[in-house]
Amino acid sequence: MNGNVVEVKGLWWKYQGNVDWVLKDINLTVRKGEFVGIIGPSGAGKTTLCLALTGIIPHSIRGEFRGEIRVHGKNTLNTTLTSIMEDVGIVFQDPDIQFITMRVLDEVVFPLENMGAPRDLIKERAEWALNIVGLRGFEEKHPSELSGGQKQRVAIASMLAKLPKLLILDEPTSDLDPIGKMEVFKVLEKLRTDYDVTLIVVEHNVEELAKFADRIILLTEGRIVFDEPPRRLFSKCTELRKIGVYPPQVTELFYRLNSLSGNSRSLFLPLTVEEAYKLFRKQFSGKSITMEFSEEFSESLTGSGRSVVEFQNVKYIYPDGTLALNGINLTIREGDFMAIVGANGSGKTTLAKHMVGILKPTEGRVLVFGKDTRTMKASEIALNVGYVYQNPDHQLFCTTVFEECAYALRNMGLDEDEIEERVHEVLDKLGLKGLESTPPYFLSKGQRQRLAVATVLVMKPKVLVVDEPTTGQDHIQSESIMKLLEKLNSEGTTIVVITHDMRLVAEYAKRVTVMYNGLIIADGPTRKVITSTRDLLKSSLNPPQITRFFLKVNPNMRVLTLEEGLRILGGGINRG
Amino acid sequence: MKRTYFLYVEENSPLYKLHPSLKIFLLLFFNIEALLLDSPYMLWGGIILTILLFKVAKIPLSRLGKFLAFAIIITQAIMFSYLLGSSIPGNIVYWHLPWGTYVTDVTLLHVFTMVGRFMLMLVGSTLVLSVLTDTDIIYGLVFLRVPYSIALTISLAFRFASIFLDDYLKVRDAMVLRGTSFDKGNIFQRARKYVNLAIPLMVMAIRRMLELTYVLEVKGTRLKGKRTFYREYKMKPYEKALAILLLATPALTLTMKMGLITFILPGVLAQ
Amino acid sequence: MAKEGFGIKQIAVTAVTAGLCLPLALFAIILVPIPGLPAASGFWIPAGFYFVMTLWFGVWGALGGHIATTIAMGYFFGYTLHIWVDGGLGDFIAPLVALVIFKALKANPELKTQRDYVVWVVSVMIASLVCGLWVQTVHLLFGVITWPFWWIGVLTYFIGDTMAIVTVGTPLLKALTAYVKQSPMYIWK
Repeated sequence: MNGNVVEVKGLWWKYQGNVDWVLKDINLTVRKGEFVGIIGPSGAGKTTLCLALTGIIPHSIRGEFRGEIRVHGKNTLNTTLTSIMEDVGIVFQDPDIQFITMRVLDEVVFPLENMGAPRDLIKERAEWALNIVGLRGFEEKHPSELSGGQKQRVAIASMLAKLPKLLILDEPTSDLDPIGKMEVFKVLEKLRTDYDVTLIVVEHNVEELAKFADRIILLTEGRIVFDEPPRRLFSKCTELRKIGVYPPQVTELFYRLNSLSGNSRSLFLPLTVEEAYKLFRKQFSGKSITMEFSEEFSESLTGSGRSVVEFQNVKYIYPDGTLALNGINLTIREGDFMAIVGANGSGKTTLAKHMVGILKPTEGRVLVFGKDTRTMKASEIALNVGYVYQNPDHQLFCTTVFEECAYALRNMGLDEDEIEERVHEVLDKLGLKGLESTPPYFLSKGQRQRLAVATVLVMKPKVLVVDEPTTGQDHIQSESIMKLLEKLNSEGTTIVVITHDMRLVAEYAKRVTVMYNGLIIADGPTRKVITSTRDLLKSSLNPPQITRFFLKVNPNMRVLTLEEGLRILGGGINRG
Repeated sequence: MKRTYFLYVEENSPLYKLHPSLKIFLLLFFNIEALLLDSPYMLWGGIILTILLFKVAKIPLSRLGKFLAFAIIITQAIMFSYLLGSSIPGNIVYWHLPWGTYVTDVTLLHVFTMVGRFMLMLVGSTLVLSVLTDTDIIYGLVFLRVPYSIALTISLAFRFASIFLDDYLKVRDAMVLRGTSFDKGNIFQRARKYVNLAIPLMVMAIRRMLELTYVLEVKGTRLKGKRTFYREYKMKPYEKALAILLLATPALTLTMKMGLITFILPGVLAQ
Repeated sequence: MAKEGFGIKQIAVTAVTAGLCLPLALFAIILVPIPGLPAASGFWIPAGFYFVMTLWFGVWGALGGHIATTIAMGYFFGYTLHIWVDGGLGDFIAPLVALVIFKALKANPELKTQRDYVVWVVSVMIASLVCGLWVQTVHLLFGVITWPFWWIGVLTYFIGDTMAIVTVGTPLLKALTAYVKQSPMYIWK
């Protein structure tokens, strides 16, 4: 073998029944020990490429295949799937569906059992793999006793145990909270540095990829557009933005600063906060960066209107005894655009469910527009407080888009004319006009997400609670959703967003509430909370990269967005 | 405490430590023996012995409380059927019914026996299920030469049941938030609401089928040919003896039932 | 019908069907219990699901329904041989009967024509009758009921199952068959 673990030549693929090719003329080589990242907008073909590298395409999926793929010298077209799987491991996005047995140990040994490996070898490999992922001692745990991050680490261990030549991870951290993401990347770092495992990782989280990847491939509309080391790739900020891929914030900051200073030379661009700081000290030594920002960037406005939702000493204990909320006092005011952040299990979703009346407090009370939720039905509360689920599929249950939006209005007893008018208005607002008679399950994920919002918006609630709207979405889709929420907020709707995406929180939310272990540990204007790293770190959250950079420059520089950063440092450049 | 089908049991429970195939044998034993025995005294004696086994196995008797409602229903059903719809000759006729059926002392004995049969099956299977883990089901079935594909399917069914239960509750809540009341309306109106609930569940099921196929493929799932089973369960001598007993007892009961061994048990029902 | 043995795809169909129907079966038993008729629900909603799964995916859908019914009924009524043989096996045989009739009469699961609807309803009715006959005969053989009550049970099953399957299954077939057709596990070519 020539040192290449993967060789793809002239790969074309289209699914059966589709007119368009999903993968177009893919040529790719991955060498042993390389860490290759794959990025691209949704629908680019990233997952399809991963399935092709494992041989699932074309063995298990019908379609038209052209070209050649060799993994560790084996032609995937002519080799059995079982044989390919001895050399390749893949970890998918959903941690639940990958856990097919009932114990951690059984899960880890499952592939080796299938290979007919001797017991001694299985024992040795299982212990080794669990050690790498930090789950020794968890052998007899049931999947329901594990967090998402732990399940994903079990999935990695399960693949590692068979010592694959190639390990592919397809958006392994999309469904995970910040702790889970951190855990998975720590494992990847270990695999890369200590074990020289060849890795291909599909990710939207470019900042982490930039740290570890040797190369990053950008896939768009089925084609490889770029295949370069991270620094070189992310230096093409303008082009990347056009495609819908956002470089690390510090990279873009210095790229734009270079442009401002008229420097057309290809300069070193940082990828991490540490590199950015070193570069800052080199470029801005001697220049004074004033703290005008404190006047220029006023504290973001929070809602100043009447109280719409109020928590008074609320405790909630689940039937299994879990104390999910431990004395919550919180007032949400009319006009707020509030983000609730925190690790999984901190109580965010429980809090949200109390706002809409799905759950009622064990102790204390929740007032919605002054009325105690314990005296109201959830359907009554829903007229004022709408709730959008994280997975849009959980709230789409009609046969057409129109019926989906009309469902609640019919239950409310509105007449058909008004229903027609409201539905068309909301579909137009959400860019779903023309899809009225389409079954929801035929829509793309982004369209289903917007439809889920539409089904709630059509009821004209005064408060909209949105649970993790950007999970698993690419940057364009995430921005589109947040912009929609921003527009609704400007029109008077109070918005409450539950999210892990601190960059979007910084850019859009006016108020942030941080939860930890069923308690609120911080609550206030976005700028104040996000730059108070101690509270965030307790919840294993990180401020956006740009914020971290400026805090390193000066702990009083509480910058939230790239644009703010540019105004400060751009001003510094101009002042010379 | 160790996790089992019915949640948790003490780790030092003697039944918990039994070989998985023996647990499945035990489950079958209670059912088959209950079907073979005709004597109400043997049946109710068996029930009492099984209840004592709960104590030996350190399983709380409250596990049985779960089935109290069903026990009442089945008793009622049997009584209803036999008292109103049978004509079994006996020594004493207690009453005649207008439609021609009648109740005798033997009718009551039948009721007593049938109820005992079901109670023995119920109590026995609850005992076993209290110490049976999901791993036991797989290894037990495989040891009994049931194809591995069946065992794997059952294990996956349990796994997906908890995933779909979560989905079901979320979809239901989402419908409630959009004004659906599952308690109101006649049976057809309520069924139509479940249809709405069915649609997203079905869509998610179809997607998951495909995803599961990929997952099984990438884990190299092999249903034929040589496959290692990592967990090793070796039968101890007393377990082998127990296995023989569990096989021999129904065989003995059957031979007695067929009259090959003349041993009249009190209260045996006339055939 | 695609003739494949019990491979990975078939395991996926069976396991997911069972996993889907299991919580529904648990709720259905609580929803409309029949007093006097043990282990019976007056409106067996999961049947609507696994009948449809059987039409789409063949015997594996029926197997999934069987596993779900057995586990659910056992959860409430104990894991006895009686429960497995009556409801469990009955709910395996019934959807297969419907599938055989559907295939024999060459109807379209998308229910595009009136004939398709009629074949669907008739196949459900026959399957429900077969299920009722099976279950009540098992009750009889196990000694739970006597002859005079046998026909009442058959009628109850026939009416209850037919109503549930037609009410739940028809809209599912109509709404989702076009979507399911894309699945490689769909048995109709």
